[in-house]
Order: sequence, then structure tokens, then C-alpha cells
Amino acid sequence: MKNKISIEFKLLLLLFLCSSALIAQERVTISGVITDQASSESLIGVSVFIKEINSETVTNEYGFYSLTVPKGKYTIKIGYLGYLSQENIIDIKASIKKDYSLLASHQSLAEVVVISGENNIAEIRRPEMSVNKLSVREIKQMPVVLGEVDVIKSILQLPGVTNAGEGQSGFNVRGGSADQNLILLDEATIYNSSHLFGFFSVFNADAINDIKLYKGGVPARFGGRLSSVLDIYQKEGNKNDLKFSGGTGLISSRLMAEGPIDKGKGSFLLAGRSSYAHLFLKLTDIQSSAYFYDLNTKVSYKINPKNNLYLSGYFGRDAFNLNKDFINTYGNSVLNVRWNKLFSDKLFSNLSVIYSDYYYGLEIGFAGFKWSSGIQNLNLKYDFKHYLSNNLKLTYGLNGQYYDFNPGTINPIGINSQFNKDQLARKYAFEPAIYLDLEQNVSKKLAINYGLRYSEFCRIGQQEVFTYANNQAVIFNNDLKIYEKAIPTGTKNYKRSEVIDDFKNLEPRVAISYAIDDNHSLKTSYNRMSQYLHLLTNTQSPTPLDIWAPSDKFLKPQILDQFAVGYFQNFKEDVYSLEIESYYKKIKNKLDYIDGTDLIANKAVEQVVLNGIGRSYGLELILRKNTGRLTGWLSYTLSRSEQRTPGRTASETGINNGEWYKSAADKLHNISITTSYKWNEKWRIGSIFSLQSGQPITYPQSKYQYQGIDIPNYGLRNQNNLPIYHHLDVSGTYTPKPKKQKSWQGEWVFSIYNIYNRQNASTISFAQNQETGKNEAKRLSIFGAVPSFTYNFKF
Amino acid sequence: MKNKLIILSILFAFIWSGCEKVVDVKLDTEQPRLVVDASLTWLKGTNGKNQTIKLTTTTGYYNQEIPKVSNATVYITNSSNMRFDFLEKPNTGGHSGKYSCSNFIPVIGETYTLTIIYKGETYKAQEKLSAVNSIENVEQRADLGLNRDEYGIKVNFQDAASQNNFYLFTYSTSYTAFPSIDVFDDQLLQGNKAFGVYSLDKLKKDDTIEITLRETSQRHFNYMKKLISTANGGSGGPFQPSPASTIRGNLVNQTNESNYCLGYFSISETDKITYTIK
Repeated sequence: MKNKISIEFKLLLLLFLCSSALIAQERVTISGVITDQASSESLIGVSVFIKEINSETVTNEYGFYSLTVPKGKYTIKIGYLGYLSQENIIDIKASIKKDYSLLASHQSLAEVVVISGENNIAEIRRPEMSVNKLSVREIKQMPVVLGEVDVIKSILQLPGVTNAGEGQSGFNVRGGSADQNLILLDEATIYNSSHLFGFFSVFNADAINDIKLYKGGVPARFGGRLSSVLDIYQKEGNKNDLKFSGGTGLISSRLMAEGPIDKGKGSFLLAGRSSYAHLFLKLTDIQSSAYFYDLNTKVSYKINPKNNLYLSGYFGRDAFNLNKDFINTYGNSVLNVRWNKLFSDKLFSNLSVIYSDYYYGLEIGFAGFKWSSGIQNLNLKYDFKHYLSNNLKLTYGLNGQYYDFNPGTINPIGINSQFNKDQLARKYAFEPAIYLDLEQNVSKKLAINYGLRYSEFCRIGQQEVFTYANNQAVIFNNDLKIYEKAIPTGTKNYKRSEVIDDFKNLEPRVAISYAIDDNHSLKTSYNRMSQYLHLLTNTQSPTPLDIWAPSDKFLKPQILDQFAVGYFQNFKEDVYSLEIESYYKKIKNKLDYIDGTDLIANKAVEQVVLNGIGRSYGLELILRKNTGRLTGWLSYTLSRSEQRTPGRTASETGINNGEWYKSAADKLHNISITTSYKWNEKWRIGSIFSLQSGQPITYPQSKYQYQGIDIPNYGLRNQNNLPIYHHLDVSGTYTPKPKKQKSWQGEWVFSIYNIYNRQNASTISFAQNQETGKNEAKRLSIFGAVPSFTYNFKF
Repeated sequence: MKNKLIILSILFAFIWSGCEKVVDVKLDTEQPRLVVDASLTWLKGTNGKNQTIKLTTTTGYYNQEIPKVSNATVYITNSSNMRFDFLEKPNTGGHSGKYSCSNFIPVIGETYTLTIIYKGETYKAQEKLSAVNSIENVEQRADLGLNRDEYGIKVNFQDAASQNNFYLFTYSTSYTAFPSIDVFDDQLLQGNKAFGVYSLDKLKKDDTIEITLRETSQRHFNYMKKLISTANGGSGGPFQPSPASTIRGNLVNQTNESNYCLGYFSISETDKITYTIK
């Protein structure tokens, strides 16, 4: 291990030396902030391209860019998804600050039809791959079930992204499980991304500025999850005028206010969304209610040109109340404060303090208890972006996270409760990390991104921990060939802040791009990720009451190695773009559960888990049409995702006889065709066709009778598949007065989900009919054809 | 926690209702395997001399007929090697697969070994007979089920303090083709007044419910937990346990380890009450 570190450091040192040698020429820096013209909000990921030297950079999460070039006259081209591009010639003699403001393409009064900005085109030169971006405008045009615009559901149309079907929460990236996605809202971790058990996602699209999904080649600044990073930024709010917008649909209503503070020095945004109080319930039932709501808020303030302050928050809850006897509440809250400081025109910094919290509460009066569980997390982060030259950009930083896990609190309610007051042992952990990322243009054709992240995970007291004979919390019963819980030999008491377990990992990340010419490139990447948190779940997709558990010597940290190669092309003058990627992933310490595991209110989870391995591989393809009246994409994924939990010794059988089996996220084929067609000034038609292999499932091989009950007898896991899943959805957006830019502007969105009423199987279950006693196979489908409408407005 | 799971499952079923349909799924059938249904119960207040063990085999999932196993040698021995033979009851028109004994001697705390010899292979299992506290009373409720309008019962009993207990309730009515079984442990209710709950939408005045309560071993409890969730459609609701697989019981084939049998040998003291809805 020691050797490895020193080699990496020598390499970095070498790079530094090389780069400083390059800077020796007389160079100047052009830097600034790029904003939206109408609202003066900063724009993230805007491309700044200097034609003469083929040099490109993109604005960071705060709209800042910086390029260092030799003195001279340059053509600077600014391009961004959904905005008109700009091109201007500047003679740069000394370092300058140059801000740009862009005009959104839909606000353009010109008769040119630019529906989607050209920045949807494949990224050719930068060593960035396996990344997908979606604009909120694109997301809002997609037809969705019940008309509720949904960020998570929209990313399912991208290659390599699937979920467990209709009405299911979470998403799976390249065959990974849902808890392997790092979901960030303004850099704060969101632990549960869905409302109503998965029907809707927690993100209010009105309040969102930018969405980026990393499926691989993950930069070193991210860590802690294996499969993906979904990086979402909230809007800053309009800095010019006070604006209101909102909408009302079948499920919820939304209202957002945004406007300037202190004459445009700052801005605020406040957005609320609430569903109606009787979702899925009979309106006459006044005793019960079921609803969700969320609040998004953001305040930004420019102290001076070099210092910016941001405050953002999110609060969301789901609430069910059945007959005032069954009360279920859960949701996320996050709060963060960020301070941007420009040390120079080349050095950008951001200091953040982030708090995230997930709470789950359940009160059942009849059963006589109140249950609550959750996770709290405090994150201190300091990040730097150092634009050394147009050929070298450094990103480095450090962060420390503190976690407080509550696996469960039980409070008896009522005098007749059968339960005792109980607190399942709280768990604490500290996770520090440092990272360094270098993006280097080696030549005009070759660009490399090298990164290294060092992460540590420290489980700390105070906690009483069970001890086991031979350190085995799960034992194998060799006679019966089953795994059983071991009986603890005793307990060990760790004092406050005393280290219980400690894990250290080095995570190298590399991405290389080779531009064949301006329109074709080849890329490859490797990334290692470590994940110290596990979502304990034995369902196909997460449920709100699943519990997050930290790593310890039984639940080992998961480690991923991913390799990917890709081909990227833009053709017909960027009208079309094609991206083809292939990946291979290997996972160490994938959790598997012994048969018949109860994970809720389990005082010793270590007694039911085994560590296995996982692998997934696949081919992804996306063909986009970027401009014209008709825009959209076709995506196809061919992939496999498998896991294996072999016996720990030769005599143990392991899980599923120690054989590889398809993981819940396995989908052999996945096709999605997403289109948006501008019919005329008033009408826009959107459609999505989605087809994928059925979910893996285990069918019974026989049955038997025990105690008068028919028991289906299953063989090895996931040998079968549900029927093919497909549906076609269409939407029409009607804007009565498209030319109107001031005062009240409205639009209607009509949509039909699953237009040909396909009864897609969410699952097929095998059980005996309670009345006839006959064995049956029952298919559960969630949605047939669902029509809906929404009215959106702004003023 | 079982109550929570039941109620949450109801909530899920409720949200997702109306979209369930019986479909025809073609299934393969594997080679038949021996199934042992040896759940010996000693009803409080009886001598427990009469006991029956059923031997069958697995069959196709949709088959209505359960194949019976004849010509097996079945006996139980206690710790002092006293042997109780179980002989197949003759049936009209052939074999019954039911092996019974009329001189069994149940003793609390005694360990029993079941031996089955079938087709030249010997299967064995061991289990201890444990005592159960009596059902104290049955409370009738009219506010159960999802809409809080179903008749049902709350069956109260006392959990034995300072020991880990594993309970098995069965409920039978004339409306259901098979009994409803529920198992739970006292992890969260150690030493308290505990209860089992049962309700059914069709229950009305004068209907009867037969309730049994057994104390069982941890291993049998684990086995039953898997069995019940599998019988309920396992891969269905959101609270399914880990993916369905073969459920191995406590019988071990001494002759040929890989030719294992299914089923379980359990022995427990039982309390039984028949309740009539008022």
C-alpha cells in the first residue's frame, strides 16, 4: 500500500513540474461568469470554446469559467443547451474579466427554429464520458404518468438507466442497485428520492436548474457511492425581476416566487409543491388523508465580485393518516451554506457546510407503538478549481462527513401496548476524504483526466457491539445446509469517539479522450469507487422504511472497479450525434441476505448478511437529433448484471448454491425513443416509447403441502423473467399566446401515459386462493392507460 | 413488528388494488421430493397419546392431487431411547400417507428424534418439546381491516419473562380453505401481555374461529417465517423476504445428503380455543 501511494504522488508531482514549464510563456487569463439574460442566474456547464487553439472549458457549478492563453486575437464561442450560441472576437492583451449573458432559445423572437441548443451534441474533446445531461425544459416536455413532471423518471430514458418498473422508487445505473446512486441537491445528499413509495420523485422541476448524471468516469471530487452520481442544482432565482410561476395538475399544485435582493446583488427563490390531501383515497373518508409536499428555497448574495454566498434548503414530507390510527410520515430535509471565493482569476474556491437528514416515522395506535428511524449527516467541504493554463486544470479539495444513524426507536403508545420502549443501538461514523483531479490537454487531440481520491471511514462509539466466536455473526448449519444467526458470545462497549472499525481506500480515476477530428473521438476511462453506507433492503426497489447502515467488520465497504470505452460522433453539422459506450464493472463486498431475513427492527443486522461479489457489463448507444422541428433520441442498452455469494469455506453452500445469479437490476434489453415535435407556434407534441426485458423473477418448480397449506417450491434464484415491459406515452403542450413575454403566460399540458393500455407485470406472485384453495399465478400491474392534464403559468 | 408489516402490506395492497389478475404461467416441474409434515402438538388438558405424521411428495404447482408416500418406516425415540412407532393408516382404495401412533408420551423439556426410512434412505431430525402459556382471553373487535369495519379478534396471552419465546398462532374459519398461520417472537415485547390478531371481511355474528397457540423453537420459527411468506406469494408485496428459494427444514438424509427432503419435525404444547362472534 505504501508503495502505491508514493508512486501516485510522484506521478502527480511530475505533472505539476511539466505544467509549470508550460506556463513559462507569456500568458493571459480570460475569466468570468455566464448568466441567463432574462433572469441573470448563473448557468452551469456552458461551453466556452476558443476556435484558434481548439481549447474548451465549461462553466462550473457557479457559472464561473477561466481560460489561460497566450496573448492574441481569438474567436470565442459560447454554447449551451437550450440557449442561442454566441461568437465574438476578442483581442486579449492582458488578463481580463468577461461576463456573458445568454438568451434562451425559446425566448428568441427570431423565426429560426432552434428547439434544442447545440450543446446537446456529443462531447468530443474533453475527457468526460458516461455522463448524461438533461435540461429542465426537456424534462418538462416529456409525457409522464398523471402529468407530474419527474426528474427521476426522465433519466430512465437514458441508456444504462432502468428501474424496477412502474410506481417503483429509485433507479439502477448500469446494473447497480438503487442505494449505489449518490443523489445530490445543491451538493447535499438526498437519502430517499421518492414520494408515495416511488410514484413520484422528491424534486420539484420548477426549482431546478441543471441535472447531470455520471454513470462512469466519475471525477475524484465525488465519492461514497458505487454506481452513479446524480448532481442536481437548484435555480438561484431571478436577479432582475420579481417573478411568479406555478401550475396545477391532477396530483399536485406548485407555486414559486423568485426575485432580486438588494437591487440585483442577490436573489431568492421559494418554491412549494403539495399534493392533494386525499391521494388514492375516497373523498368521503374524512378520517384519512394521504399527501406529500416539498419546499425548495435558495438565497444567493454577491458580497463583492470575488465573494458569493449561497444558502439553500429543501424540506419534503410524505404523510399518511388512516383513521387517525395509522400515521406514517417520512422525508428528507437538507440545509447548506456555501461561500464562493475567487482567490484570483485562476483560482476558484467553494466552502460548504451541509446538513442532510432523513426521517421515517410510523405510529400504529391499534398495535400500540410508534416507530422512528433515520440518518443525520453533517458535511464540511472545501473545494478548489485551479485553472492553471488552457492545457491544465486542477480540481482539489477535502471534506469530512459525520453520520448519526438511528436504526430504530420504539415507543409504546396507550396503556395496553404490548411493546417495551426500546432504542436499537445508534451508530456513528466519520468519513474524511481528500482528492486531486487534473485535466490536461496533452496535445490537440489527446486529453487526459487523472484523479485520485483518498477516503477513510471510521466507525466510532459510543456503542455496545456484539462479539462472536471466530468473528462470525452468521453460521452455517452443515447438516441442514442453511445459514443461521450466530449467538453472540458477549458485548464490547466502545466509549464516545473511540474507534470501532476503520477503513481506508485509495480511489484512482482516469479518463482519456482522443479526438480523431472535430467530430469524432474515442474515449476510455477507469474508476474505482468505495461505498461505506448500505441501504438494508430485500425488496426489488427501496421502500421508505429501509434503513441505512454504516460499514463495519461484518458489513464491509463495497468497492467498485469500472472500465469503459466509448466512441463519440457528431454529424450533419451537429444535427445528429451518436455515443456508443461499453463498460465492465466488478463489485467487491456486495451485500446478500440469508433466506428469510427480517431487516426492520433487527438488533443485529450482521447476523443476516453475507458479503458477495457482483459484476455487470453492457453496451450502450444513444443517437440524438439535436435541432429542427423534431428533436429527441433513441437509446438502446444491452447489458447483464449478476451477483454471487459463494460459501466462506469449501463446505458452505453460499447463497443460491454459490452460483452467479441475475441481480434484481438485470435488464438484458432496454430501448427508449423520446421525441419532441414542434407542430406550430402553439402546439408541441412529445412522446416516449419504452421497451425492456422483464424483471428477473423466480418461478416455482413444484409445490408441496405442509400443515394444510400449499407451499410453492422454488429453485435457484432469478432463473426466469417477467413478460416484456413496454408502453407508449404521448403529450401535447398548448401555449395559447406563444409570443407573449410579459405579464400572464400560460400553457396546457395534456398527456396519456401507456396509450395502448398495456398491462405490464410489476410482479407475478404464486399463492393459493384463500377461498378455493387452488394454486394461482397472479399478475400485478400498476398503471393502465392514464390520461391527465396540467396547467402551468408564470407572471 | 409483525403487526406493522401486516398493516403496511395492507396499505400497499390498497394503493395498488384493482390491477391484480390471475394469469396462466407455464411452469416446469422438477423431480418429486419427499415431504415430511410432522408437526406434533400436545393439546393442553389431553394426554397427547394420538399423533399423526403425513408423508407426501412435491408435485406440479397447479396439481390439485398431492401424491402420498407409502411403505415408509416412521418412528420417534425419546432421550431414553423409548421408541414410538407410527404406522400408515389404511385408506379406502389405497394408501393414505398418514402415519399414526396411539401410545406417544409427551414430556415438557424432553428431546425427541424422528426417524423415517424410505426407499432405503434414512432421514432424521431432533426437536425439544416446549411449554406454552395459556390463551388468557379473546377480545372481539369490530374495527379491524383496512376500512376498520371488519369483525375480528384479539387473542391475549402472557409472554414468559426473561427467556426468548417464539409463538405460532393458527386461525381457521369456514370461509377459508386453509388456516391462517402467524409467527412472532418476543424480542420487542419481552415479559409483556402479548396478543395475536385476526380479521376477515366475511366474518359475521355466530361465525366461529378456531384458534391455536403454540410455543416453538427458534429454528422452527425461522422455518415458518420463510414458509408463510413464500405461501403468501413471496415475490409479491413490497415486504417480501429475500428472494424465494427452497426452504430447508430440519430433516437430514443420513444416507444420501444431496437427496434432501422438505418439511419439518416440530413438537409443541398447544392451547386451543373456539370463539364464536357475538
